[in-house]
Amino acid sequence: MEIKKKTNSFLNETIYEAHHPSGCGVYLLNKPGFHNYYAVFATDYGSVDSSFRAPGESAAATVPDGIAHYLEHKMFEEPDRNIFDDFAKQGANANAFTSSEMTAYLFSCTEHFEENLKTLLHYVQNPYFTDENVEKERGIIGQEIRMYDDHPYWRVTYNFLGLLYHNHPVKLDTAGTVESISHITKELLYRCYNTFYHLSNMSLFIVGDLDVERTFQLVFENLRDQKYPGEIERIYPEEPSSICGKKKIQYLPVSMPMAILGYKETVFPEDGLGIMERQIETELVLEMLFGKSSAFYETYYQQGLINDSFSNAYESGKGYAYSEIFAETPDPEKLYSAVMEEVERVRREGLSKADFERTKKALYGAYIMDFDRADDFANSYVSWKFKGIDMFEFDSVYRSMTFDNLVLRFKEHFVEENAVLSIVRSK
Amino acid sequence: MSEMIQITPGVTLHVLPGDKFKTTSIGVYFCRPLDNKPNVTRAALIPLVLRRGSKKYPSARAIATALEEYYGAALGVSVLKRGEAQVLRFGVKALSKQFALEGDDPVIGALSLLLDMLFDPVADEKGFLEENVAIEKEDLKDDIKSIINDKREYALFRCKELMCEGESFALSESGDYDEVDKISREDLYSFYQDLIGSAPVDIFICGQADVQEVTKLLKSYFKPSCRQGYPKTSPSRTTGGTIRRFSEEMDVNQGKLCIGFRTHTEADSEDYYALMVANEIFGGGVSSKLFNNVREKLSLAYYASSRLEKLKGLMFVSSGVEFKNFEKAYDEIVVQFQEVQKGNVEREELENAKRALKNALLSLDDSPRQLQDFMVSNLLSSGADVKTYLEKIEAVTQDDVKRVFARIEIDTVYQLTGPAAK
Repeated sequence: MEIKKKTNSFLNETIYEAHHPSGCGVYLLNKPGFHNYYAVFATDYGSVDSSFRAPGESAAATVPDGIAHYLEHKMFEEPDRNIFDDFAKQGANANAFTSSEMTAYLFSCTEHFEENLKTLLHYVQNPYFTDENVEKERGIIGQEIRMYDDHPYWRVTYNFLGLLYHNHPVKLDTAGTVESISHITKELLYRCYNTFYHLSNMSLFIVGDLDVERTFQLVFENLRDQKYPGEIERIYPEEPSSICGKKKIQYLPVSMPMAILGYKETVFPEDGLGIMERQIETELVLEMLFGKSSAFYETYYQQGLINDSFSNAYESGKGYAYSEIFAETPDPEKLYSAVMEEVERVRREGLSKADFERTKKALYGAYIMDFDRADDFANSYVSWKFKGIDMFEFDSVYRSMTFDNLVLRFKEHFVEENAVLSIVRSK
Repeated sequence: MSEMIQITPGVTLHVLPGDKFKTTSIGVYFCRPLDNKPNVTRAALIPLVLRRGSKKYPSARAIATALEEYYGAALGVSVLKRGEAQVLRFGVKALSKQFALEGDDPVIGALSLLLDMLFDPVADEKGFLEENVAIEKEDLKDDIKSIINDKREYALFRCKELMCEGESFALSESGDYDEVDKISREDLYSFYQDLIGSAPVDIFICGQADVQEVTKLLKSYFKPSCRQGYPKTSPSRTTGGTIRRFSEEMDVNQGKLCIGFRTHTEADSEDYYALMVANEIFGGGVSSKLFNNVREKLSLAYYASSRLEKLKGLMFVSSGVEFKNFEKAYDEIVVQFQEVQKGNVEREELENAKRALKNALLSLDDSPRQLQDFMVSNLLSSGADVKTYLEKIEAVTQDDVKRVFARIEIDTVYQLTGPAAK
């Protein structure tokens, strides 16, 4: 086993990395003094992966939407028990989640770390699906979907993605629909499992007060022998660069209209570093324009058009990326116009260099602060890894950032014809 | 576990161990009674108005700009309810000095900024500035109304409100919508001056900070004054044997079912630890009776869980179900409740519950914010520390579980239902 060390100069921390012969990447972060152990075992597989060609197969498969999430629910099933029982006996708090691009199984504990780690590795590598246990889950997930149907933030987000994307499956609810999950069977679950839960498509990240050598040893002993089967071909429908719709309103009982507006990305860098640069630069521009210290924020807060919930983000994944601005606002259309006018004003007058320097400092602080939340850091690290990016490269990207590049990023991303507005309001 | 330093009488600094963190978190907590609608509403408005600026940083934008200079230090205000206490929290989180690339200590910088905001707000001879009060009154009203956005939280909120009608506990920590517009800036300012000088204050610091420097800074702002003791929560009433039922309609797809129980176990009693264990067995997590039966066995719900309102001696079950399954879910929840009452609890369930609680308690040490909130709840009740909790929980027996559950009464059943139900 070859253990590589990677050090980040800002954090003064080291990540230990080793690759199991199966191709599974294993990452360890030692946190002396911490009581909690946290491990996340994840596959590069999410709700967007409903069409694929498995290695060695000639025909492509299309499976029902929501299957990655359904599979996650069913992984906890063992022939004679629920795996939660084992974690409970070992004092761990176990959970899992599915996002558009990743399915992750995790636990945190303060005792019996090694037993819990073995349990995690065991159950994720050993599915047990039966017709009965698959059927039983339909009602539970049906209620999960219903719950999200009533969730205004969830709805305004997915309607927003539906405006941005004609075909890309990122616009579909992670859990699917009551209709789509009615087609899920044991056979389909095994098919997806065998394709995407190959260890070469998975990563494991462990944080805690660890004995590094011993932990690697334990992990390697508990990962199965698998040969690299070849690439999984993921099939995404053709996505035009244009937006799909400009505006959508959904009526739900809310105290004040909720809005998300944002821009569809049109620039897709080739490599991981390019993607990270795009991410950081766009985040900085969003903060400079619409963050709490911006002129925009002050003006419209005082006019009552926005409140404390006004926030922004930049999201990206395989074949998609977009910026989003969230607001609870009495007048979403007016807010949309105000944002467009602000972008035009900045286009005329230029970005401020002082704002750039200051926002950059805040970004540096945020990077370090996030590091204190070990579980969030581990999840982010793995999800970026699946995009081909090492989060520890942040310092070099940060240092090479220039004002001129930021100006370019602003000009290429904030283009009104790529902007959409999603609204949830009461009748 | 923590060192205590008295800043002035009634103002205590708790130094929590935190060398392992790169960030320092500081929380300043003011505790006052959840007394009546007008006062609770005034108190809820104060943190919002204070964040409009200090004399040194006279606008929210000036504060935000300064915080960015301190490497994006976070400053947050929140209002919490702990039993019948309204707790105002002012917090900062900043990079510890050795991670600053250059310049001043971000922790001291951000803390000074917070203290300026608290003690030296922008004001004229009549009080807070009219425009700041006006904006924040609108914000507070929005905040009070926004409870309906999350249907799960809303149903629980309504269940508590209906169950405890006539008790202080029914008041929302955010205040009352109709009271907001009655508040004048003069009135608010004098309320603020009284609060800042008379409420008991607990300050928590966790991280690699210069404690001496922090103590000195705090002493320069907190001057000696006469401060009250912690507010008390009155014990919960008895139900009188009848279960009250409420059903409300909203345009929703999924029904919400909440059940309110009176536990008759007070937060500072020895039995409280057994109640924690019993609640964990009943509906605490994924190994609980509710999860295993309502969800896993009957597939009725995605979530079904119980939680304690520690200081008021209440317990609430909440679940999201199809409208047509309200009765089925209710019946199953009651069956599981009675199982615990009858003492039908396996040794394994007891041990699992203890382990889950132990894990949660030990994890607090890695999460400064949660540790601070936990400690404040304890200051308002028994004063027990984490070590005491661990010992007392370990000693709980199956008989204790049965005994504390046997005296629990179902008080209120609340359903949030939709038009599709008809």
